[in-house]
Amino acid sequence: MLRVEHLTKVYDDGTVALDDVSFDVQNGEFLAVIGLSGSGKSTLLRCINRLIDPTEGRILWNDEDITAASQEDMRRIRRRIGMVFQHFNLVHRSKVITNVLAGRLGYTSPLLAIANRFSKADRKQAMVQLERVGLESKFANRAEVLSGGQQQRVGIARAMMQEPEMILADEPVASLDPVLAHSIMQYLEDINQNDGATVVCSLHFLDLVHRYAQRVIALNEGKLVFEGSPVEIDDARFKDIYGKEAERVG
Amino acid sequence: MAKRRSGLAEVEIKKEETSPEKSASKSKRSPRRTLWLIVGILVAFVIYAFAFETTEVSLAKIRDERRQEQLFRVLRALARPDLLTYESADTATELDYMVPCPTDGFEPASIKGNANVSVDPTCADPRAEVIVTGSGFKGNSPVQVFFVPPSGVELRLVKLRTSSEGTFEEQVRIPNRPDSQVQTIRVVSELSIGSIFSPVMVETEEGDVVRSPRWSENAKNTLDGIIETVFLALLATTAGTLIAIPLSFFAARNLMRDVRVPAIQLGLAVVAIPLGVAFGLLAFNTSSAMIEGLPDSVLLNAVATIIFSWVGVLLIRLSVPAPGSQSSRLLPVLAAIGSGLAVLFAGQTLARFADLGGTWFADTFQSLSILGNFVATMGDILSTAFGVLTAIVGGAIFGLLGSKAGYGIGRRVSTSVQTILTVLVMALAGGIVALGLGQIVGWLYQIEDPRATVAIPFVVGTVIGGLGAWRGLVKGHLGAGISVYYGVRTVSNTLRSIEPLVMALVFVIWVGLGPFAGSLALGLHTIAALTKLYSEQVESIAEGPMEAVRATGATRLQTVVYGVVPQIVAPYIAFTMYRWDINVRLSTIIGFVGGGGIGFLLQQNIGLLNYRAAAAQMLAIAIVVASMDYISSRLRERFT
Repeated sequence: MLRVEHLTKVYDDGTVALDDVSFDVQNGEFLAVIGLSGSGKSTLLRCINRLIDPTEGRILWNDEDITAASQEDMRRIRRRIGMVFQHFNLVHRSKVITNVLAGRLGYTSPLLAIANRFSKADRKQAMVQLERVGLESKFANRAEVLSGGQQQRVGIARAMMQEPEMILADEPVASLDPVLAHSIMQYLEDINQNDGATVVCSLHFLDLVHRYAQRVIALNEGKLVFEGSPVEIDDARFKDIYGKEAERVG
Repeated sequence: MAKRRSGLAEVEIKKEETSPEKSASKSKRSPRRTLWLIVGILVAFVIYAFAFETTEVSLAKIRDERRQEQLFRVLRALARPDLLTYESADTATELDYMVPCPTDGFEPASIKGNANVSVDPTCADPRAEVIVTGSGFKGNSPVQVFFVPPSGVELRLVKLRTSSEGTFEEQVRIPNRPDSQVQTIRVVSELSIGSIFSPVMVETEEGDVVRSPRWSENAKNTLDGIIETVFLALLATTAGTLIAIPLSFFAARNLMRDVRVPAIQLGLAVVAIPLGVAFGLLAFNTSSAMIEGLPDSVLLNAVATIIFSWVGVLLIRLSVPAPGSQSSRLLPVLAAIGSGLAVLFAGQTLARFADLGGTWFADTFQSLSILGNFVATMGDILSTAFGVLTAIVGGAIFGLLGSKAGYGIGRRVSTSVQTILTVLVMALAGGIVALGLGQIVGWLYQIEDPRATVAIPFVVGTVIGGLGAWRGLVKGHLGAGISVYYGVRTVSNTLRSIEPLVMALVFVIWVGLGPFAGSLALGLHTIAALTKLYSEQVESIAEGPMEAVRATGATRLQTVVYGVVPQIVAPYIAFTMYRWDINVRLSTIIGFVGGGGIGFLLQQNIGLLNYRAAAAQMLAIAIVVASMDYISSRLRERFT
């Protein structure tokens, strides 16, 4: 279980990105995080794997305190948490297979990985993951030649290389067109249901939330304003989350 | 532009309408502005007047005909670079002459030779001044005028050059050789044999058969000089690149910004690093003494290198525990130490193998001794570099251990104990840093008093470190990374602002005149310049991929290798090419201060007023620099 307790993040310039946020995520759950741009969704996800250090509060994962973990503990924790990004964050100049193999770095001896050595098992596994997202034929291409949807699938394969118990997906479909959005979300759903990984996914479109999420939390200006099932979001709740002027589109 | 201006005008009009008092204040301001303008012009006037005075600007000098003549002479010499040597043959033109004049006068019968020579007057008394004129000679070539008495001995009257039309006119004094017989005035002109398009084989006075024209001595020296120059630049660029690459990561703000450690960890690391360096040096010296004990056998050292490296790799594998296995923690540590020792020995034997093998090769194959010497020198470099590397690695390992110990302490003890420990550790760390600085200052200014170089710095450092830790640094994390960043940046900026020519002067004092001093100077400057250029490339990479790699649980080093390096390879190559281009340019003039290369020849020839020889060197520089410029820009295009 992932437990977030009184999480607060104040950036150096004084911006309060998260303000006393607390919630729980059960193992194997698909949780959607919604809210306007700048409401703190990205900060929240990055605090969970400590890409950003929170100012106050605790994050417990399976009873281990992530916020107090040392660098080495963090390496062990992070390798069980896959992350998928809005802008895919592939290394453009590297090959697709190298990008996927990077998911194994948390398990590889630093000295061996510097020499660009991955074990045979890792290489085989990387091809399996690429096959799963239907890109096995592209393994030798540079990542930059792929389309947006393909890049995000490589991003998912990279996350899957970590054998993750949890996937953090930061607006995974915001840079893609709606048709591709569903195909990417289906990969995440598949990972959630068949591999049993917890998924914490920030999303923009409510229809995607209704279609894929089991539970939703909503942030507004860093505060948790809603926690519950997607169907509970009625018009009044919607205005709480997105502001009075907002109109429902999806 | 026009639109914008009209818009501005509208705004101003509106203002005038709305607030008349404001526009009044504005009209008051405008004379002040005018005043400023006038003052500005006056200041500029004075500045430029002073500039003209100090640089001694004088058009009169430019117009001076005597100086212009000098310039033209130099320019004409430069237009004919000394590249070819012609063999020359002498041709004589003879004219009958009488000394003294017979009573009824004398008219020379005829002229022997192809050119035309006349003397005015046609006969003269001994020691008389006469005028010799000639025409039909080769232009701009040396000519000698002889007086030949009946004995046949040549008495030279004058040596001169013909005009560009092949004429000359010179006043000479007839020697004191009165004779009743007809004597001879002989004009000997030197004629070049052959031309570029139709070279001729000629037999010299020494009996050798040579080609005419052929490359001159100066052309050969120029070629040697320019080759030396290009290789000097190559070595400087290579060495500079190798050192600048690792440094550039420490000079990149985006990599170093987030490296923050708690005060107690930093303090313990600072205390441990000098110990680590000392330990590394000790290990290096001990192992090198042990290797020295081995017999001087090439084969033995080769085998030893292979065995040691193999053991090293094997132990590295052992030091990595299989994921998930909870076996003892002692074995990996022992394996890591063992592998470190094996690598240490392997490096030593490799260096020794190169040294011995290279020397043996050079002795055995005399004609290829250059290759053997290269390998032997590489062995020497390797051994030195390995010593430095061992010290650095020792410092790094101890620093890491210190930092880890600090982390362990921080977790186990209560806050108050931690505060006390932090203050103590930081005091010690401050003392050690100040002690180091004190030693450097003491060495630099030759202060022999240990109170000034040991006691006082240590006490002051202790107090500053302790107080600093106590006054609020305890809880916060210290920006260790950003301090390193500023340190590397400051040193590289300082070095970069010293011109390589000035550095070469210093290195000439150290290693003597020659290309080695030049390549050291250029290498040092290259390190500084490339560190900055490279690090700016690191700072401009996309952050996203780095973040993604970090999120997989990669260590900092792995993040750099997988998230940063692929993004910077191309610009690094481009900048290295660019720097080689610059280094070739610089190495052409580094010889002016004794740094070897073609600049040395150029400076010599200019000093000897040998402008035709200098012209050859200038031509060579122009060709090499222009082609380097072209090649490097083409290669850079490909990599960016």
